[in-house]
Amino acid sequence: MIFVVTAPCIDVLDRGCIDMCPVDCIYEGDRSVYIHPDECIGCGACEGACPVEAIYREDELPSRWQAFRQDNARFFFEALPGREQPLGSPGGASRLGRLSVDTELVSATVGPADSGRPVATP
Amino acid sequence: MTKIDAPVVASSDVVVVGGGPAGVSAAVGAARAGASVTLLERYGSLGGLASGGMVLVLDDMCNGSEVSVTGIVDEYVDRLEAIGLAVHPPEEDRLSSPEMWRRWSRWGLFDFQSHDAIKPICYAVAFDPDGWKRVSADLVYESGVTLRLHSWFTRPVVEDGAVKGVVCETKSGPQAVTGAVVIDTSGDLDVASRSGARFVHDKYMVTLVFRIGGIDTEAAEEFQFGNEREAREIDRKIKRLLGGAWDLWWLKTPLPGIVWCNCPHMTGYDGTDPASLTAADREARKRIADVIDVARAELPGFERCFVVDTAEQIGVRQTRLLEGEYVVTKDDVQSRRHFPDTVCRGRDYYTPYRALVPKDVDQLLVAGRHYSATPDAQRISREIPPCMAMGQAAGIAAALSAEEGVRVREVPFRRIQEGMRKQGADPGDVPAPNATLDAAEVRS
Repeated sequence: MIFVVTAPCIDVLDRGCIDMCPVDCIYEGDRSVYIHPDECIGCGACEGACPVEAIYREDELPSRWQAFRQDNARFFFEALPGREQPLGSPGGASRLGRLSVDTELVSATVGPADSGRPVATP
Repeated sequence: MTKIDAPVVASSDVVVVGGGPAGVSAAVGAARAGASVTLLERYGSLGGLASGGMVLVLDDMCNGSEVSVTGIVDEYVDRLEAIGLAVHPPEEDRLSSPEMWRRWSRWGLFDFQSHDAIKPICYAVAFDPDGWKRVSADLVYESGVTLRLHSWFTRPVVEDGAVKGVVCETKSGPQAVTGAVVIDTSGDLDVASRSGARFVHDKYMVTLVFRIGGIDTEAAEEFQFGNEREAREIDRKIKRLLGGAWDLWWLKTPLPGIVWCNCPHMTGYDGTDPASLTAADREARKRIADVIDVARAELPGFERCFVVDTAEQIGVRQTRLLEGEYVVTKDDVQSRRHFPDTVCRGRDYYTPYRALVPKDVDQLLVAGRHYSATPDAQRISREIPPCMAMGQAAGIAAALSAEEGVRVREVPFRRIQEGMRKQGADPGDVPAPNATLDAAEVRS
């Protein structure tokens, strides 16, 4: 049972979640962070740490943010814009550092991220 | 001999600084291996984060169904269970199923690192903090260790690159204790860092653990399992007030109606800085008060709850880490790397003797959460049982060094492994089937 970062993170990037994570599975893109679905152990430490309540357990995602479940995975398993290969499983965000790129879904999000509008799946 | 400008109040083969899980294990391990031992503790009772810090679960003791951490921890469990102050799941319950999750999850006795949708129940133990203090003292006195409480380490005595003893501050002024070997089990590398040993200084979240009483735990669990969605909404709200917590923010203890809470999770604090710890204490109490209000108002089972206590010792998870003869990496831990000089185990990983030995200074060993590991490795290899195993191994190594006049860094690891076996502790010399062999082992 993993956790997923959703729309309210976009352009906030508090990073408190990254500080908390015992397995360093929360990676930083340009406008949002992403939880690695294979590296996450479902401990829940990130959920309460987020000041904008962007993090949900995968089975509790609000319907308007269901798309983020697959999108967190996309960040790792599809090649991001400007990169030839997918990230795969780097084994820890600190060894990768901050990436200056996001998924298409996150990049395409405009306006207040928590406006409640359904986020379209590309 | 360096002139020590403090009265020497004790002298023994081995001096252990810090009476927490690693320190008690080191002291008892050294004594049983034939050394005379002095154990120094800054507070008024033993147990460190297990008792003073109230981290009331022993976990990370299993590699799947194999119990990987044995030794002094087994004695604690036996003694605590004999007086009704510890609980663990029987073998037939140790599996992943909704029924077992319902039966055991709120005791916290599951495989925390598992990726399974329903985490497996495993061999883990929930215990009482006062019981831990009592058993710690019994073990220490029975093994003939000289205990000095209320003795706060201030500085080492180092001569020609070797530690010869330590000085503590006490209500009677500074007091020195000399020895052939010193073991730093202070948790924050207090001794090694002041002895010239290389180290790194990082940080991880701190927690002021608290206990809540007056809870109808049966009603609370019935609500949780019968109204999952609603219960998780309330839990989510509470975890937001806490600023972070493990998914199950309250866990049962052997005392009826009393639960313990390994939260709030607070980041940005330095566990070695009094100003930072003072601020953390203030912030923690504010969050705890807010949580009690909401729990009473909204959480079934918690209607008449109250705070029993907050931990005497704030839960510091990571500060200084030794940069010793070998630095364990996150990859080592996650790939279950086995080393030729493995002397103890934790969960599914192995700890080499070299990770307890400082560079740069002799006759000093390090055991416990501040062992030689990278910060990200330590985040997932610092639980109480592995720290106890490290302590026991360090104690045995120290006794060997003192008895045979061999430098601590030259004690043959096979002797330590033998010593661990003799004391009923698994030294991890035999890799489990899922271990990754270190390149050195593969070559030999």
